[in-house]
Amino acid sequence: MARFDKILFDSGFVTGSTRYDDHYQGDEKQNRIVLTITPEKKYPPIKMIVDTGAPWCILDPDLAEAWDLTSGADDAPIANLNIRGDVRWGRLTRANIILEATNGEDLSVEATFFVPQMEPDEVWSYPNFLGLSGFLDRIRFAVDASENAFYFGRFDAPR
Amino acid sequence: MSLNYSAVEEIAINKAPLRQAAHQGEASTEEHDLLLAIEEAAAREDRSTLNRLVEKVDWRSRHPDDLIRVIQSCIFLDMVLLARELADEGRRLFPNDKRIEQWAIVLAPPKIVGTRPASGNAIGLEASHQWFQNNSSKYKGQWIAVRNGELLGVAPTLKELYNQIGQDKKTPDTIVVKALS
Repeated sequence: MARFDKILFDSGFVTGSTRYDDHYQGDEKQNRIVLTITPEKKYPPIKMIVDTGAPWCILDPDLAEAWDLTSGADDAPIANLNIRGDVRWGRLTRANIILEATNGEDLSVEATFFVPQMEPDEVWSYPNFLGLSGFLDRIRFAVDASENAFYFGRFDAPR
Repeated sequence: MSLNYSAVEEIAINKAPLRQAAHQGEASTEEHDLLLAIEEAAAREDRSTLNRLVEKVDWRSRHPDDLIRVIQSCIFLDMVLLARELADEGRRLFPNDKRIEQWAIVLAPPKIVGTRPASGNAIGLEASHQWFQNNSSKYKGQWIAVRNGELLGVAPTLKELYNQIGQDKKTPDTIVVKALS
């Protein structure tokens, strides 16, 4: 149980909490807030970095294929995005993901993902991101860095 | 993915100038100039000018392709709210255009689908946290599957990893990660 579960749950500010990782796997020198995210009706869960500077959630193309986001994607809108100075083309698509709670309630959100288009034999070398406009700006969240606690709840939850 | 990079680029960028773009409406020369100015502002990454110019466009007289081009420019410049407004307006003005409809769908705010009592999966996932902290640096560039703090498999591609761990290990308490290289 996270330290502020009771006060934040009772106030209605959030409805769940979970633990986050300090860094993305393989990138131990960068501090991050890394959450475990489960795609709706698809396993297994994956890791994603909370990034308020990213407009969209960004998903590794191999995971997008495993989540069935690429089949029939020819109609999905094409956009380009600047990812760490690297301008990439990709498709925007929607998918349901679940933020699973250690305490309280899991939260299921229909989010917008940017799925990069790859050149043949190209390997995607970036992490997965949870972006602001695609996910974060319709939930309430709070972070307690003292115990790596991430508190979250629905945007329209009663206060 | 069924499209390669160059194919996507070709589709995404109509290289013909907006002035010459096919349009079915009754856009004036002034309107065409306005769209050219928008494109130039986007190329300069001049967000305030782009924002100001977009407000002057009468989209009723424009072809949906023009609207999509401006939406794409907004996306590239991280002007998400303006892109969202344009897609919504496009949906009203061009209700039969499936591309505009798709844009409106993906640009809509995220939607809370629901909440449910914690499944308990997250507690099982915590057991893997320490494993990742201690070991993921050994597998840079590799796909890793971990369950309850135990390594299930390591492979250079996700498909190989899934083949390695088998269908029965693709469970809610297994975490799959590609360690950055």
